[in-house]
Amino acid sequence: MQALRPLPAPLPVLVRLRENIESALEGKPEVIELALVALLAGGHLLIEDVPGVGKTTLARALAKTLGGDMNRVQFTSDLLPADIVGVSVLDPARQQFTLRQGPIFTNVLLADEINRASPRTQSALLEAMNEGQVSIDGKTMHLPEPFFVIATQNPHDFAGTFPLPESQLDRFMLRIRIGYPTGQTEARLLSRAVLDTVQDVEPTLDPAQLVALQRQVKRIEIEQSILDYIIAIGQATRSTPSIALGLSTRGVVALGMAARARAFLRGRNYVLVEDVLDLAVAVIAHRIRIAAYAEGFTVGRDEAEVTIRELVARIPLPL
Amino acid sequence: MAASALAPPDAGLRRKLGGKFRPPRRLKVTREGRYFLGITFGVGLAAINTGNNLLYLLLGVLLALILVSGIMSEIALRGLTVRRRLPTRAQVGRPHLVEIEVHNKKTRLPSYAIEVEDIRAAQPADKRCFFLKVSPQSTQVAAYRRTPQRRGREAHVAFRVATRFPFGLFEKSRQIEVPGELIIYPAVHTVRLPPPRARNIGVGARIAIRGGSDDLLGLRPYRPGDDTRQVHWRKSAAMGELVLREHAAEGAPDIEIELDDVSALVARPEPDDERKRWLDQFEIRLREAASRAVAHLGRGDTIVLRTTSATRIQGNPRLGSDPILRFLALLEPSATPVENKPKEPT
Amino acid sequence: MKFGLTHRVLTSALAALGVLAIVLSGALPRASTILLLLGLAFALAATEKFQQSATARYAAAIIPSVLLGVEFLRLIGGANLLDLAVEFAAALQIVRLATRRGAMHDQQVILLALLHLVAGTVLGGGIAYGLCLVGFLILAPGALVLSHLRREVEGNYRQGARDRTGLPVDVPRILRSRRVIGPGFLALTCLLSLPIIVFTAMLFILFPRVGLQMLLLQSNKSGRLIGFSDRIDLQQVGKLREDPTVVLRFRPARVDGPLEPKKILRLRGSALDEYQGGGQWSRSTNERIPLQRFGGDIALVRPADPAKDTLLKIELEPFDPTVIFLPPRAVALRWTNANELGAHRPPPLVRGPEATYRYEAMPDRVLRYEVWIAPPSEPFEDTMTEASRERYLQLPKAFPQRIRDLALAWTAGATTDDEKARRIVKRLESEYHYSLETESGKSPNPIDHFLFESKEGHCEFFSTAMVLMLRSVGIPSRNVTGYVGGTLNRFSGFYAVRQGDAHSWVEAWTDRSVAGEGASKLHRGSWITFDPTPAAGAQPLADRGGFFTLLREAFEAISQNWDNYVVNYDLQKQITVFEKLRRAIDRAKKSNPAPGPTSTGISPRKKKLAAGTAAGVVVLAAGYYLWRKRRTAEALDAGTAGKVKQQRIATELWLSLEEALQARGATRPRNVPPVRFTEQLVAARRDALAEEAYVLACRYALARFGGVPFTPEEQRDFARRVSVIRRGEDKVAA
Repeated sequence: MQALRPLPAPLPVLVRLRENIESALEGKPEVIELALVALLAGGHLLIEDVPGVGKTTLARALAKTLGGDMNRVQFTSDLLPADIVGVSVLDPARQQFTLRQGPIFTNVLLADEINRASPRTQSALLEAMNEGQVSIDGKTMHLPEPFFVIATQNPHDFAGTFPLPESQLDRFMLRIRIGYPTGQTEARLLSRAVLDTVQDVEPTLDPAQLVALQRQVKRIEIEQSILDYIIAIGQATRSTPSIALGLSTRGVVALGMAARARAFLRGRNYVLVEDVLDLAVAVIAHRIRIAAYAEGFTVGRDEAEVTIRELVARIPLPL
Repeated sequence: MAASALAPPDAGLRRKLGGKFRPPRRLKVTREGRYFLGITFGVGLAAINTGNNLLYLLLGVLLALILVSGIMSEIALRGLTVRRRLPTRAQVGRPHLVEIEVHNKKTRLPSYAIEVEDIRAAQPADKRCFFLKVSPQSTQVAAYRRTPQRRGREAHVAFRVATRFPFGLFEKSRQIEVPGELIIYPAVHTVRLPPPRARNIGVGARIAIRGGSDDLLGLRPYRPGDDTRQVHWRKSAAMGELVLREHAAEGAPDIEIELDDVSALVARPEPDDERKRWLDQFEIRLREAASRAVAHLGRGDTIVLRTTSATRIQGNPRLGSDPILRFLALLEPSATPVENKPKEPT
Repeated sequence: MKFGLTHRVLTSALAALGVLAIVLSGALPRASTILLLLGLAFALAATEKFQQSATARYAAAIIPSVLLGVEFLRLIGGANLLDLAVEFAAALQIVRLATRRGAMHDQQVILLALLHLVAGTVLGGGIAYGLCLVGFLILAPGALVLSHLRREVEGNYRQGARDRTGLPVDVPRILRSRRVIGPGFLALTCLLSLPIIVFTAMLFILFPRVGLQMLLLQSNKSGRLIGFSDRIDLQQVGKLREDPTVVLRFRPARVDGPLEPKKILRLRGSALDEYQGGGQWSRSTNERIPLQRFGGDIALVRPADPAKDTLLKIELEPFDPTVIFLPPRAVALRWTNANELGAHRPPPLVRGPEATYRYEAMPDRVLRYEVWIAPPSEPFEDTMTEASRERYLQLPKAFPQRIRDLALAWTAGATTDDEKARRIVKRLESEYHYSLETESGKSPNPIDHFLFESKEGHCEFFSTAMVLMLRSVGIPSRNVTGYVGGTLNRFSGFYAVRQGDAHSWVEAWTDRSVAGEGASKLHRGSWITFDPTPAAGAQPLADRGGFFTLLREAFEAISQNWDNYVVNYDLQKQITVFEKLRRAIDRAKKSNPAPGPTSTGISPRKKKLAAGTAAGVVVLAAGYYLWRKRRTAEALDAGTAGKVKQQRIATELWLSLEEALQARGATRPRNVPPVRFTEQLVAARRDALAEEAYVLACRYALARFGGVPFTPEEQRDFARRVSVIRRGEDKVAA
């Protein structure tokens, strides 16, 4: 029997990358894949989950495998923009202002509990994410490459929070939920009694390599019918009566980029429908606003995800 | 939405549908069909009587048309699947669209003039959708609008797919069992809520309650009009601007809503005026409870709804108004209070 | 194709066919026919704008009532009820066609067209009716479907139904839409006519004809009546010669060898004995002797003797007066449709004066009979009383002497009466000229003028002159009218005798013996036929030949077969069909290629025609197929043709795999893409089938989305592996 072409297989470096992070965060391969997708696509990640399931672990593991710098900022309500981007400080000794770069100047920035900070501080970060540069006192400085932000939110927090509006959330390519581990994993964690799993994570890439990979991802072409499929999804979100604010163009582009990254992660240089399907909820759910059913009627937080899943299921697949 | 497997309320319906065999077709003659049959019969009679051979020819044509009609209507009905898409929510007094999706599985032949009727348990069949043409291997969607008048579980049982294709002489129909269920929430009106208990007015409706407890929630910049007693001076000095302390609210208690749903009158047989009066009152009270629950949730309060029949449900803004309204939609008054411990309905 | 437009066209066509079915039967008076046709043309041309206008609405309300009044008046005035009813129905259809608005009216139009066809069966169904019926059954399915769809659109959507976005539906847009029905629709509905035709034919052939005769509805005249003057008037110039209407057809019952294109056969209709002068003949006696049937045959002279006599088949169109035409030496007659049941009972025959045979019934259908002809050797003897003899010697009062002198001059020296007659024939044939336009017609003494002045005339002049001359020399004779014909129809094998072949000739009495004395003398002898007209006028009209004649012959043959096998299909024919069927089945079972009944020399022709038609159909089909292929090839752009085609190939390969998997019990849900589906299969089943499916799906995905098309070998390999899956052999294969 003549064999058809060999099945796609990912690059070894990507396999190692994945394995590394999986060793730190056990039992969550889909989450890790989504995080890597955001990374390779050159976007930013928003993790929304209850405390203590591994948000920080994931972020730190990612940072460590990249071999670059990582900074962690705990967002509190008293955090000021200068605490993030940096400030120019008067040096009394030399009688001049020196620029002190804030924690944002790093490869991986973990912005913990981003919904606790004031909107002013939030926008400082988000603007910098968007533009890739920071202005302090009139001086513009570029952020390093690669620059990857992992922001976290506790969805159950109501006290003292400034939840990000959709227009700001739009800047995050993916929103993921980690969720509680399975019983098995929890048992294993207990038995090992290791508190810090990130210690053992080895750097797999260096920043330059990551940039090269990101460029490769950008070059992947998407076939016309899948492009049409993505656009159809976007248009569906805009025309469905149950969605008040549909997907923006940025969102559509993000879906395409994320699909490319996922294809690349799986060793393909072409995008399949499965890539788009698996990423739809993660890419779209946080960018849309569900229409209020009635005055004062509040909808559950899962409403967006359910709506997106139903909407995508209705769109005919390109065969 | 949720399509739970629902046994049809009428067992006779199942028997009529014949179980696993191909569902039977029902045939009805339209008005034009009656004329046509009359003419055919007349021609046949005349042909036999007079022996005029041309009448035999005409009779043949008419009978052939009837045969062709039967075959074509059969083909039109074959290979059709119908799906119902119920809305996410429905509420008494609010119109909603029910979408009906017809898919033609045939590879080459379209189906014309298909009429689909949505059959609901205990309701007259009055909602019809018409599809002029369903192309082969494609789907057509139509919708009907409905304003429910009663809360509760609305069971959709089946579809009746009918066509008068091709000539409009006969109507052939078949029934497809497609169960579906829609929960219809009670109507909700706006209520004026009492002011929140012991609260500072927060920064906005979405901000949770800051209270007077001793838990330090955090710091925020001073805005003119704030209570100056809350200024955190040391931090202000360090930062160079006035900042305020924020205290978390006291373990904010849930708002409680009570609903009386027990009455001995329920057990009485119909018709009974007193019973009817009590039921009407019950509906009004239920509606009031629903409205208050929705208003509180909209404001961000957590609430607990308790009924005298010892059921209780908690409402949380994170989950939205749906669980409470669903509970209220399905609530039926009972004659005696339940003896065992309070249960949480799913 | 636009929905609304197609619907209009089809309905108009049906209405037109209905009206034509009525009008072409020829049963309505000429004025009504013209008015109806004009009305039809107007109604067909009426635009939609007119139909929407107020004038149309008023017209639709007023005109039918007016017409009803008019018809009622005519009924009182004595017109036929059936004719009036049919006229009214046709007019109603025209009014409805011109003023229709909406689907209900269109359905009424179709209903009226159907009723017209029913009416047409009563008025008389020639081949024209048959064509209208065929047209109706080709167009009716399409028209009915469109009418129904339009009714549904107007009915359903006008009730305020909404589409998926909740907006009301736009009915006029649907009517203008081209997507409701495609070109395939018309083709399909026209193809539906094939099973309808087959079914109708089966019903027609198989339904037993019992003819209860409880209700008879006949019109009192058939539209195709042909006239034949029972009196001869030489003043009228014979324009009859131009008329190609077929009067009767004849054919020898047994044919050896090919048929000549023209056969000169004199068919005797009636004879006239009294010449009133001035060119007018009439009949003086009026006897009526009913004829008896002996076991199917009617003896005219004597019972038939099949051993000696030859049989001639004759088909006579409805003819007024109700005369039976007979060839010379006819001895017996047999009706072809000799069954006693139904409306096809043969009419009773009587013998009238001058050996004219008539039937006593309405001339409403084609009469088919066969005539036994005695062999040439047999003598025909007859008797004549003295009184009759005097009749046949009658001459008008003012009979010119010079005619008598001329007759004497011509017959001088002849001894027998026979010889004398022959001499006169010779002289007339050679010295006189046959012409349709002659001055003699206007003369008060036409024969005198003919014999001495103009010396030219048509057949009636010749025969009259001869009879007068014979009588003037004492030979009893009479003037015979009939037809001389006919010309062969290549398709049907019958000789056609047309109106233009009307002819007059002479019968002269020759005594053989005389018995008795005086007034009771009884003469024994025979009537001998003589034809004095020159050959140019004594033969059937020559055909012009060429394509037009071919067409006409084909049409006449079809018309004849239509009459014979459809309009006059009866129990006897049914039995014959069953017999033939049974014999054919037996023959097929025994596989014995016995030759069928003797061919009449036409079947090679028919075979050629059938072969030609079949070849034509094949050529058309091939042409259509090639045209379709070219169209699809053109539709693909040159640039993207390759890529799109490759993707399409990949999709089709996947679909075949999907089908195969479905056959093995694994159906892909609608919203699960192919590769994922096969991954799920692998996870669920973990067998070779799932693995194979997964590999194939990945290759499909690579070709479809990855830009690596299948090579031809890969295509074949893929297809082979799919069929392995379908057949379930993957369990066996390595």
